[in-house]
Amino acid sequence: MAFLFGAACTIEISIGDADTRRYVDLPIENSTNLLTVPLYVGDETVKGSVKVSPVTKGKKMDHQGIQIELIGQIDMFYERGNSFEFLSMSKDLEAPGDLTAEKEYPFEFLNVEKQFESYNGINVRLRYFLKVTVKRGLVSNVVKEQDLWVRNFTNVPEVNHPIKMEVGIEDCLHIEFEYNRSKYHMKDVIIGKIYFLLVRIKIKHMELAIIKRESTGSGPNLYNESETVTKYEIMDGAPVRGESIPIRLFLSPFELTPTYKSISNKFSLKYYLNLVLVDEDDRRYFKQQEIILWRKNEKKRTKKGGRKAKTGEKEGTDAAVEQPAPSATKAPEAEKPVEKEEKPASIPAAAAPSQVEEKGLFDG
Amino acid sequence: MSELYEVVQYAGNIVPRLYLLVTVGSVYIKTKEAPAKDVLRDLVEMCRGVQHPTRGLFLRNYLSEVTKDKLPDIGSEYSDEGGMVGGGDVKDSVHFILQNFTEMNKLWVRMQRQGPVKNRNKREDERRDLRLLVGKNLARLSQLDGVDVQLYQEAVLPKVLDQIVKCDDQIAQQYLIEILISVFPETYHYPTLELLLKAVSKLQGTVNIREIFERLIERLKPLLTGLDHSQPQEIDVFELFFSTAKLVATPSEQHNYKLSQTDVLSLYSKLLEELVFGVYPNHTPYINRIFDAVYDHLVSWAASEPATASNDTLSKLYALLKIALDKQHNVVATLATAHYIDIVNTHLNASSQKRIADEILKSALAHQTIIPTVQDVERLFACIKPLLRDEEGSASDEEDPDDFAQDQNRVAAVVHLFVNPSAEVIYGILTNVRKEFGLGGTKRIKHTLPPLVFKSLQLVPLLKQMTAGNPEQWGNVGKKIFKFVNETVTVLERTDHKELAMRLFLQCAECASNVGFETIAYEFITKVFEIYENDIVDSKQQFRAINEIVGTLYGLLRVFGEENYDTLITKAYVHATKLLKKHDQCRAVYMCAHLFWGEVKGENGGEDKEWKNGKKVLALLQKSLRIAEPTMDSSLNVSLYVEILNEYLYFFEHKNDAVQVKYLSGLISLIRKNLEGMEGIEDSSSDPVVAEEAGLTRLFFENTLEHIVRKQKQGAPGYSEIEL
Repeated sequence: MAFLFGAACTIEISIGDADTRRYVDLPIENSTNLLTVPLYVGDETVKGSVKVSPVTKGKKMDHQGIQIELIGQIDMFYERGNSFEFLSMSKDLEAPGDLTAEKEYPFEFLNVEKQFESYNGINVRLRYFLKVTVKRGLVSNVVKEQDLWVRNFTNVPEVNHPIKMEVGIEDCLHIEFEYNRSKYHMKDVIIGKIYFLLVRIKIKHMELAIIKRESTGSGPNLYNESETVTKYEIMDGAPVRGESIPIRLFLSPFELTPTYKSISNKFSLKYYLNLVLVDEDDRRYFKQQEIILWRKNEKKRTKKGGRKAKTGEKEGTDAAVEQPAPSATKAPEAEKPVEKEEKPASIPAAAAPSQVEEKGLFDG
Repeated sequence: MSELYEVVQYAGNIVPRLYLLVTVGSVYIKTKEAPAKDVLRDLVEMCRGVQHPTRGLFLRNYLSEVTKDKLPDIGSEYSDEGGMVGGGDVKDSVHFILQNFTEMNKLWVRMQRQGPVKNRNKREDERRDLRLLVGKNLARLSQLDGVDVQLYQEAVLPKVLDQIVKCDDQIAQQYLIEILISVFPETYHYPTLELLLKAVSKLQGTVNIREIFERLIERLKPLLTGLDHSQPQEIDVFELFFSTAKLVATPSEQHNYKLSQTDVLSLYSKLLEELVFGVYPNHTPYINRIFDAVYDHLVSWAASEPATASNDTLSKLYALLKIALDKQHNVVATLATAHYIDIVNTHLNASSQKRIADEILKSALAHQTIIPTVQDVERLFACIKPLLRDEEGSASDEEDPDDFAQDQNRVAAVVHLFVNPSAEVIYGILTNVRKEFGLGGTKRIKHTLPPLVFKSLQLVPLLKQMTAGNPEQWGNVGKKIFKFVNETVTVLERTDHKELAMRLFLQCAECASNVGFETIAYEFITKVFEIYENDIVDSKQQFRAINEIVGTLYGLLRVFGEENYDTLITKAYVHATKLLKKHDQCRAVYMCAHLFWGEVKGENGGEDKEWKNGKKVLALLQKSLRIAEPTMDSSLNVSLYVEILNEYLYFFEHKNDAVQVKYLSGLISLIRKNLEGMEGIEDSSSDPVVAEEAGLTRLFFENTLEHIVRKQKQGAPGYSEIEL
C-alpha cells in the first residue's frame, strides 16, 4: 500500500547493532524464499534508525509527522483482519512539516517487555514489528514495517517430575511407561522406557510421536489444529511380557517451540508425546501424554554460535551441547564426576537401569 | 564422533537406526573418544528396541561381531588397564556379552512360539540354522583372557545357566548346554560341576540328559583320570552325577522330567559305563548305588508298567546288566552287586533272562573267575536259572539241541570255577549244586553231573591230606564224600545215562583205590559190572567198556586184596571172551593179559605190589592168537597178529618167563607168511582203504622188527635168540 503510485517518499528501517544481532529465517507464504528477520530475546532494547527520503530528490514533501511504533499483535487467520494488539508503543520522530532531503532518525525502545514469543502457527500468528508512518494529510500515509522475531528464555523449571503411568486394556495389553521428565527444553532428549506387563495382542511395532496442538479462539469459535511433528519408531516386532524397551528421542532435529499457555486468551500451543502400538491387523493403541516444552537460556553457550539455522526455529547453537546428563543410572560407577565432564563426550545412558531389566525376564 | 553418534539416532526407523548406531558406536570405541564400557552398555541396551526375532538376532549378531575386537579384557587397549580411562575391564565385557546372549536367546526361543502351529517343524529347522548366532556368544566368553575359573564360576556360569534354565525351550537348552560344555575347558567344569548339574536337573523334560552327561563326562575324563582316587576328593564327581540322574529319573512335581523307562535306563547305563568304569574302575560302592537306584525304579514301575512290557526297556535293562559284566570281568563281584539278581529274576522276561545267563557264564569262563563261596554259587545259580531248569509250561523241545548242549556245557564248565581252599566249603557248594542240577531234568544232568563228580573226586586227596593223622576222621569224611559221589552217579544210572554212569563209577573206583578204600572201590567196580552186564548191549560199547574196565582194574591192584583182585580180573576176562566180534574178543583178551601181570609202585613209601601169573598171561595171549586166526579178513588178521606180537614182546621185555623166544620167533614167521600172502591184495586191491590198511600193518610190523633189531644190537638179554 505504501508503494502505490504517488508515494512521496521511501522509508528504510535499520536495526541497531545489526552486525552482532542474530537473525532467523522465516518462510514466506507462497514462496520458497525466506525472510530474514532480527531476533530479540526478552526485554532487549529495540533500537535503530529510520531513513526517510523523498522519492524525487529535492522535491518538497509535506507530512503531518513521522511516527515509529513497536507493535505486538496476534492475527487470527480464520477471521481476516481480526488482529489483536497486545503491545503498542509509539514514538514521534518528526513533527509535522516538510521534508526536502533524506533524513535519518534514530529510535530506541528501551527495554521493552516483549511478553510473548513470536509464533507462526496454523491458525494464528503472533508477530512483532516496527511500523514507521509518514503521515500525510489528504493522501495516504507512507508506511513501512519491519518484522522482529522474539524469543523468551524460561528459567529452569524447579519442579520436573518424571512421567510414569500404567495403562492398558483389560486382559489384552498392559504397559507401564516412563519418561524421565515432564518438562523438556527444546534441545533436550526424551529418555524413557516402556515396560510390558501383559501382552496378548500381536504387536507389529511401536512408535513415539510428538504432536503439536494449537488451540485458537474460545467458546464456539474454538479451533484446534494438531500436527504431528515426528514419528519415531522405538520398537520393531512383538515383545513378550516382561520386556522393556528403551526410548531415546533427541528433540533437537525438530521444529519446536515452547509450550504456550493461553497467550492473551487468544491461543494456546501444547505438545504431546503419543505412544502408539500397532498390531498385526494395523489396529493402533495409543496413549497421549502432554509434555511441557521450554526454552532454555543458551546465552553462555553461543561462543561457537552464529551459524544460521535453516529453519525458522532452529537456533544457531552447537547441536551437541545438550547431551543429556549421564543420569542416575550411571551414578554408582561415576567415581569422578568432574573428570567425566571433561571427556569428549558421555554416552547418554539408556533409560532403564540394567538391574531392573534383567529382573523378571522369563520369570513366571 | 559424539555428534555423529547422536545424529544417527535421528533416524526414524528403528532397524536402520540401530545398525547405524552400532556401526558408529564401534568406531567410537576404536577412536577412543569414548570409553568402551559405556558405549557397549549403551548399544546392547538400545538393541532392545528390536523385538522381532530374526531381525533382532541378526542385529545383535552384528553388534557382537563388530565389537568382538574391542572388548575390554586383559591385555586389551580398550580397557582401563590398557590405558583407556574408564574403558572398563573384563567384567564389563562379560556383562555385555551375557546381556547380548540373554537377549538373543530370548529372541531365538520366541521364534518357536510365534506363528501357526502347522509350521512348527519348519520353524524348528529355521531355528537350528540360527543357533550358531546364539552359541557364538558363549564362545566369545570363553575367548576372553580375563575370564578365569573364578570369574567363570562367580559371574559367567550362574548367569548363563540361569538363562538356559529359564528359557524353557528344549532346542535351546540342549544346544546351549552342549556348547557350554565344549567351549570351556574341563578345568573350568570341574570346580563348577555342581552348579552345572543342578541346572541340568532343571531343564525341560524332553532334553536329552544322557547326551549331556556323555559329553560332560567325556570332557571331564582326562582330568578325572589324572586324579588320585584313593584320596577323597574335594568334589565328589560321582555323587554329583548320580544324584542328578536320580533326581531327573524320579518323577516329581519339582521338575518337568518325565523320562521314559528307556531314557532312565540308558542314563544310568551311561553313568555306569562312562563314569564309574571309565574313571573309578571297579569301585563297588558306586556300582551298587547305581543298581540300587535302578532297582528302585524297576520296583516303582512294576505296578503300572513293568519293564517286561516293553522290548525297548528290556533291551536297555539287559544292556545295563551286561555293562557290569563286561566291564568288571568278574561275575562274582557283579553278581554281588546290590539287586543285580533281583533285577535279573524279577524284571527280565524269559528270553532276556536266558541271554544274560549265557553272558554270565561266558564271562565267568572267559576270565576263569574263581567262584569261591556257597553264597557266590547261589547267586550265580539264581541268575542262570533258565539254563538250569525248564521253564514252567514252556516247550523246551523247540530249542536247538546243539545250542542246548553248548549252554549245558558252559554250566558244566563253570563247576570247575568253584575253588576254595577249604574242602568243606567246596563240599557245601557241591551239595547245593547237586540239588540244583538234580532239578534240571535228565537231559541236563547228562551234562552237568559229570563235572560235579570229578569235582567231588578232586576233593578226596585234599580231604585225606587234611585229615592226615586222624584215620578215624578220614574214614568218616572219605566215606561221606564217596557216598555223595555214589549217589550222584546213581542218579545218572537211573536216568538211563548208563554208559556215562559206568565210566564215572570206574573213575570213582580209581579214586577210592588211590586213597586206599578197598571196599568202596570194590563196590564201585561191582556197579560197573552190573551196568555192563545189564545195560551195555551194543557190541562197540561193550568193547569200549571192557577197554576202560581193564584199564581201571589194572590200577586197582594197589588197593585190592588178592581175592578181590582175582575175582574182578577173572570177571573182566570172562566178559572179554564173550564179546561178539572176534577181533574185539582178540583185543580184549590180550588186554586182559596185562591184568595178570600187574605191578603197582607203592606211593608215599608204601610197598610195591605185584600180581604176576606168567602162565596165565601166556595162556591169554595164545587164546587171543587163536581167536585171531579164523578171521576171514586177512589184512585184519595180520594186523591182529602184529598187535599180539607186540603184546608178546611187552611181556618178554617185562621178564615173563612163560613167554619164550620160540613163541616170538614163531609169531614173526607166521606174520611174514601172511604178509607175503597179502602182497597180492595190497597191490591189486582197488579199494584204497584196504590198501592203506595193509600198508599200515606192514609198517607196524617193520617198526616192531626194527625195535627187536635195535634191542639185539644193544645186547638186551634174550633178544639175540629171536629169529627174524
